Amino acid sequence: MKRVVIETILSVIFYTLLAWVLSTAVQLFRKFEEFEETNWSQGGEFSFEFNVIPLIIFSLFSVFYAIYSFKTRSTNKRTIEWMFTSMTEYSEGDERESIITSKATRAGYYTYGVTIPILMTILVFLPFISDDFPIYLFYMLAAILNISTIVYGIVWVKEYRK
Amino acid sequence: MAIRNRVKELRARHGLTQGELADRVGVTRQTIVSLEKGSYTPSLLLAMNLSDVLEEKIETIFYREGDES
Repeated sequence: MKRVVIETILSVIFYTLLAWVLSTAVQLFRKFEEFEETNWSQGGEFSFEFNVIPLIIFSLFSVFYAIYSFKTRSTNKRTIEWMFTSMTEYSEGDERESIITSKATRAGYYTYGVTIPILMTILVFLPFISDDFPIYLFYMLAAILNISTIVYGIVWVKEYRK
Repeated sequence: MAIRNRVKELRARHGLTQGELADRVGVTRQTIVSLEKGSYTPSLLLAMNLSDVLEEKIETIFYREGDES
């Protein structure tokens, strides 16, 4: 159970950091746009700053996350196939854990049925805020993944304790 | 209708701990805990494994609620 709780927390941190890194990339691409629009013949100047801290933190965290997930798996599941096909918070040590994982996954899936329509509704306001808050969409998507992951973790723990 | 079991009683009779029984039937200790609490109904395969280890027929270990006799 402890491993599932830790993996759930790590997944939430991972999605949040991913949103942070990608939103930084968007800001970088916006600077490229400014670069293209600069009128050099009229003495236009261009300078930009790129914050590499999110990328460094994300990279370091990803390495830690991968190593932790790999090491805490049972030996027979430490395969390349598993690395690319299985969610890290899944725990199927025996038949009961498989059933619990199925129930938790179903709860996580139902969550999408609530969060995505809410996001779609909020997207109506995107044209009004996209200029001031261009990275909003990344955080919204990360929030959907995080809510679903948290629901998965809560249901897993609840079922495990029965 | 719920399914009850005599796993706790039979495990004690064999002098096994929950962990030892779990190892012998190939599940986690928590699964044995849930079984004994009656909150988990095992698969037929696990029931057969328990039957082998506890040396009792499946129908002796598991029974429907109300069929205790």
